[in-house]
Amino acid sequence: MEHDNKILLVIISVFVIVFVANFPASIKEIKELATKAEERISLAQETLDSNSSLSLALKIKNYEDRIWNKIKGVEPLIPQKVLPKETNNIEEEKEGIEETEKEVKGEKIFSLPVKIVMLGDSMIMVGFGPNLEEQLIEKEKVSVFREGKFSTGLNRIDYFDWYARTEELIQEHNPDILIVMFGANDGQGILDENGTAYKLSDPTWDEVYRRRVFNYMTTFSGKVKKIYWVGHPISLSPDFGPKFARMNKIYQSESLKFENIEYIDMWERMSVNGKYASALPSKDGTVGLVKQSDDVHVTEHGGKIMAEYIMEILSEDIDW
Amino acid sequence: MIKKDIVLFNMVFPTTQFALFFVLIFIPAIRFKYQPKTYAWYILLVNLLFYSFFGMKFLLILIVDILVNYFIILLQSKYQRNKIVLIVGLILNIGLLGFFKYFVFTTNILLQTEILEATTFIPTILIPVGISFYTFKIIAHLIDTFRGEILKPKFSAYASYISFFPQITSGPIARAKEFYEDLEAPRNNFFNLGETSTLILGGLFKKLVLASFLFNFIGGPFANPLNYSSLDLIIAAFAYSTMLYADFSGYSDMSNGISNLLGFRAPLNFNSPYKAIGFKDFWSRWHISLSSWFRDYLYIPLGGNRKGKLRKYINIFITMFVSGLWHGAGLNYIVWGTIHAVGSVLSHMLGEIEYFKNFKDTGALNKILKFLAQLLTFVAITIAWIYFNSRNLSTANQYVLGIFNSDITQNTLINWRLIGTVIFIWGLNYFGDYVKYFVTKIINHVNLVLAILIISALTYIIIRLGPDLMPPFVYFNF
Repeated sequence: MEHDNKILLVIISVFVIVFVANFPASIKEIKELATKAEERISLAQETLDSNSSLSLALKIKNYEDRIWNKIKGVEPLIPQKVLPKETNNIEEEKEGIEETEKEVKGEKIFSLPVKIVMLGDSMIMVGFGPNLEEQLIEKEKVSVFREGKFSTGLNRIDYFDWYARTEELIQEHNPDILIVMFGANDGQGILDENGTAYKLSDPTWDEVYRRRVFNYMTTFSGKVKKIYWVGHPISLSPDFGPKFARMNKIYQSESLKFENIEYIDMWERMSVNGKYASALPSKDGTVGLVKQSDDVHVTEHGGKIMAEYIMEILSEDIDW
Repeated sequence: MIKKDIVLFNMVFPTTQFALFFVLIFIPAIRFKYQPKTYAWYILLVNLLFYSFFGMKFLLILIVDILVNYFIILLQSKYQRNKIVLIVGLILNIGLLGFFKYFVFTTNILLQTEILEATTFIPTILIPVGISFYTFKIIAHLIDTFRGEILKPKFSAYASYISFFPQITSGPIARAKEFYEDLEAPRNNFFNLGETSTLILGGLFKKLVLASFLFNFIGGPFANPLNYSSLDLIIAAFAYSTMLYADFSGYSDMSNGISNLLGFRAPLNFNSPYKAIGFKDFWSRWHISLSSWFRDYLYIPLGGNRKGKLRKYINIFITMFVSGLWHGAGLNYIVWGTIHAVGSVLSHMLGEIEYFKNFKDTGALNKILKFLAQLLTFVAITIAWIYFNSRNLSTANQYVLGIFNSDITQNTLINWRLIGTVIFIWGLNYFGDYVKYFVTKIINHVNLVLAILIISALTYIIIRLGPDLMPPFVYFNF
């Protein structure tokens, strides 16, 4: 008993000391456990708010963070508390405008060599991303850089800021083309520019997320020659299917506002006559399952089919 | 996105959530553990609570699995040494595991052979977390009961053994006999503070700092080896080899430390595997609880070494091959299993040659020879891991060919932190025990307040050196 009490004392003491030393990150983690996913965004905001205070303790903490990052050799992510407000009202003006707005494609846009950067969430990391990269690098004079991060997107930029990272990638690689895929982790509560949190069930959520997408498109459409925005494949998951349909609509409508952004409809491509298909054939006729068990991620075979479709679309623009 | 359930609750060892969970369950545990009956039920309750964080459907499957198998155990004790009951039990469990693990693989074959039509609706199947590990425990229990090595356990003891939360997601595959002994016997000092805290801190460091760091460099080369230079591919292969060791042995250390704190002995799962000489030696040091499981429940029932040399080699080959299949259904896993099968047979053959039998590492030349043999084994194991970690067989072949001849000349993985980390993890196989001994000694030697401060400081340093987002454990996939 005495030994156990000693161990208990050690465990509780260590927990409390580390918890306090690692504040506020530790409190955020604990709160997340007891919080519904949709409400977590407001916790993220609280953390950002506390970080923005100028108290001495937090200044020391920030200084300490920089030291740890230096040891680890990583650049700190810059949390973007408030997104830049839209500079004009073009999206309202253009709301409802159909595809006629876009230039009719004719001749090839790109001649070789072409530099491509692919970025996004886990879809870029596994299944789809590696297959597309594989097919792209088979082409001569095409250079590809692919970067995906688990659990990221355009929503939780307090956690990983794709706006900042995309800027860095563009500066590093100076690509002609961006291929992006986001959204698998974005179906949760969201903060607007004033820091107000909206649950996914709130109709305003769509409007706030739409602005996130628009801001991303505005920021980067001028920095590359073309952006291909990959939509989500059809999903029967009661959790993800409806979210993906909502997000796809946003990606599609926002991309129409930019001449050099093309939305790629994977929902349609990965279905048969608009209906869910468990298995699909790839170009060589091989039939296989396309979705992983979570009905979000694609299998290797599904990734191959998605990649083949993108290659077809790219072939319209690139003179391979 | 990683597995949804894990993202939602993140109930894995190196998280604040888990630490809080453990503190809360540990307080009653030290009161109950001197009352075996109550303690078994308490541990079961905690196990189910822990597992529920991975999803209620998974929990339901686990509970049904336990109930059905306990019923089979009851039948076994009623009809002792009855082969039919055992075979029914084995078929049920292997069938269930096979269904979950090979669903996609089998469905694809059925689709490609047009037995299933492409338009058929095929439901998506989620693989329950840890099903491989708890099914292996269940199968071992059935066989041990059949052999008469375990008497009929109480339901609470059986269910708490199968679902024991420190081991359910990725092992180690502890044996029932020891678990029941620990549950029944009044326990107190199976561990001391220094040893247990060093085990947990060491595991934390290996997973959170070392494995998480290497994780960043591996994805690209393994996904598209054609895009990387030969040197990059070599570095990434060693990075994966060492990352896997840090990841899995780190998990096992933490798991064992937690088991110890709850009063249960836990099997040593890794014993400096990268200083092994030959594949046979490697498997006596790597994922020991799995390899001893295969030895006791497959190799020995196949006849082991009792039926002559040829049968012994065939049995070794079959055992290693099945181990490969267990890890995955792709052709790359079959190649990986085959490399290990051939390597193990060769190791056994060489071990029977007089020169190697009598080899002693005395004298400078023999020490150098021994080191070279260890290095050669490490390289061979690393090449085999390429097949283990590749998406498919053709990518793995591209990777191996790329090591010898790549069109890319620009190196992108020449990074002193990366190479230093790889060497450090490899070196842990040689000096890790000394570090453990040293830290254990210090913590045991100083007074309690200082020990608390040392453990806290080390924990904090490890957390801060770790990433903002911890990559998933590799063996969660198995």
